[in-house]
Amino acid sequence: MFSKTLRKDHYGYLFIAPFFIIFVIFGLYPIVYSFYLSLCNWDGFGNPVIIGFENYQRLLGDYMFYKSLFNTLFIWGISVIPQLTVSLIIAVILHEKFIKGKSIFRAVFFFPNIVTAASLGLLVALIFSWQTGSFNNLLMSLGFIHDPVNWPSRPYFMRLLVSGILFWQYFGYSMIIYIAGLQGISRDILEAAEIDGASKTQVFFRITLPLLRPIMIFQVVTSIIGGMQIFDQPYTLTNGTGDPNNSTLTTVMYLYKIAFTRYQYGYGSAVAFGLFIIIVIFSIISFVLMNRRSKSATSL
Amino acid sequence: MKQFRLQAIVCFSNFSKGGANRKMIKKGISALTIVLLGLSLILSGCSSSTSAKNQKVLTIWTFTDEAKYAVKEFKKRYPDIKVNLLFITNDNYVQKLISVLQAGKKVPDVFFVENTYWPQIKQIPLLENLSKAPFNATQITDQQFQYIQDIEKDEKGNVKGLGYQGTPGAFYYRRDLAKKYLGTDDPDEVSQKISSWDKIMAIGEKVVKESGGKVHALSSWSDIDIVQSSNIKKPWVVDGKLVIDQARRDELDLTKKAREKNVEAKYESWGSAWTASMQEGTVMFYAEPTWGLPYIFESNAPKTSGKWGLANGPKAFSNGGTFIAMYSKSHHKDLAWKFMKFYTSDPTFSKKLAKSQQYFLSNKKIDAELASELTSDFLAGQKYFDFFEKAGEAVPSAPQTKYDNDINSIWNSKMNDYLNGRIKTKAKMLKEFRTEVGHDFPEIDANE
Repeated sequence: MFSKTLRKDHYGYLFIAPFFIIFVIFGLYPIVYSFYLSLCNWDGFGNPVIIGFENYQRLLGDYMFYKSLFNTLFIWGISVIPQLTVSLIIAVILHEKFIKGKSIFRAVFFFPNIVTAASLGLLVALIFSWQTGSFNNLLMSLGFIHDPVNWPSRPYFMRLLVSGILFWQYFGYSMIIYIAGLQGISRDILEAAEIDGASKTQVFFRITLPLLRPIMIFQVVTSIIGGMQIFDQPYTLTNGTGDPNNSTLTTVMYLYKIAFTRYQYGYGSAVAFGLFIIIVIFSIISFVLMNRRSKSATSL
Repeated sequence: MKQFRLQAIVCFSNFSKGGANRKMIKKGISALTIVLLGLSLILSGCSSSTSAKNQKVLTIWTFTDEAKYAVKEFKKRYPDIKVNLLFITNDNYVQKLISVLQAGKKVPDVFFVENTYWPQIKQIPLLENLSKAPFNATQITDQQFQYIQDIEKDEKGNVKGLGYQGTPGAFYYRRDLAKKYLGTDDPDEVSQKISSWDKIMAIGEKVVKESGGKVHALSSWSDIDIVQSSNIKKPWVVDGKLVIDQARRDELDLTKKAREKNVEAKYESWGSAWTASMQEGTVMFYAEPTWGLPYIFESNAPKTSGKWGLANGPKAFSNGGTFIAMYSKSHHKDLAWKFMKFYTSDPTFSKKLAKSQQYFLSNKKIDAELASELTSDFLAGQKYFDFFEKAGEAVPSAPQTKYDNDINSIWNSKMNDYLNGRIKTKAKMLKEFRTEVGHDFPEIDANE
């Protein structure tokens, strides 16, 4: 019966072809080629010379690579924790029935996400510049300080500043995802809890939070992948230097510096693959966690 | 275009019917092919029409506005040559240039390179050797200042590019402040008073005290760096080993002293506070090269015209400069050379450039001819060509390596850390510097 009506035209392949063609040209080929490059020594001129795993050996002993990883994780960690908590709180509040003008608030909180990362970096660099920054001017006019403070020379402050930019930029985005998750929670459960006499806090901790877990894990996984690739904000904030003392040099900035300002394409590719392996490890960890959650959820 | 869209819509709507009518689909596809063929015909028509004229096209890449003026004049002189001038902003100019050179495709016939990147670019084998015939560039370079001649040559002594700009430096000073704190605004007398770093430090301490902390002698530690780095005897890397020249070691002490005694105003070079200070008159001296006059002072402090002067500092120095190079596989080497020769040695053009653009030239012969007549209102009538022509003769040749730009940026970063107090001692600063250079360039021996 089915075999007669099942059409076996190949037009379907035509429709999915554009994706695969583009993926092979712009995705797969560069990945394979950069792996090849990571086994070579190449400055862009002449032909790449294969040197085996020497670049990876160098990578393993490269203190700057580890430092850039630390910077990245530090900046990411400091930005993601407030990002996910603040956005959750806002999402829950905006999900309440009695709030008026919800859509306006949602839009306003989402606005920072639309601003280009590069321009944000420049803007903040101007605000916190040493001699003319408006932040110093504000502190001086309020009488908190007498001489301008050289903020850009403080490693931890600059890392926090990058975290701050990321937080400001992405909390609106996380909020939207949470709101979507909240809307997915069945009203029946909430009403049942109300009828059983649960208070608002009890509902939040016993029902909303557990049911939002998959959303939270999704947020964490995507933010890990995005967070490992922080580039624009610290790059524009420090004019590409990663100063002071390479404290805002993220792994991707480091990779960019090696490949495109030092023209060591081979080692740059090795750094890229090092970063790739680390992202894979983090992703596996979070997938394992997610599976565990869903298993325990199904066993319930 | 409308037709094309219609056809495409027809075509897609046919697909969406699930292939019900194959004839229709075929028709749609053939219609699409016809449209595309038509388009390609039109496009190929475009290119054939240009080649029909058979006009010679010279492609030039630049990062500086200056090129526009030169190209305009060049076209007036050679109307039969078509120039395709591509302007790319400085931010990623060099990366783009290196990329096309690496790829070997769409490489410009002529390209401009700023001195910061020149040592790195000039060792690329794809640059034409201009020393040999038919160019014989030494005939042009012989008329230039010695230090420029040395920069133009690669390690083997071949000329790889031509500099059109003369870049000797001066201590630009505010005449009003000089009169108030030094008792004179005469260039020679001011030069006498700042002929050593010790004298400048003493003036700095005095000025800060008398002005109640408002006025400083120097704008930033870069004013010391610009002079000292021009006076090195050995480059950063000699025979694969990192070398820290005595001039740079002295710089460490000088800048630290200047910072501690408030001799410098702690401005970030090229930052907004720095440029504002020129207008406000909170700094007495700025160590800047020839091009600082139009590009820094006149543009940032136009209202202070007549309040400035030029003096010689503790040592002669130079800074910046742009070099034009030719692609060795270019098909238009004759045109490229015509342009390069025009820009660097044509007497009529050079004089016009110097006079109309306040442009100090690399060609000292022409500079000398103009020295007696060119004065600047901005500098209160000072004969600035005369000043720079003498200064240019004294500029030492600072040896360069392809690592200079990268190592300089590490040096500057560590200098900032040292001056700002993150790195406490000079020994620690030098150690951190060596570690980072050794890390970034494994082929360099960075140990002491």
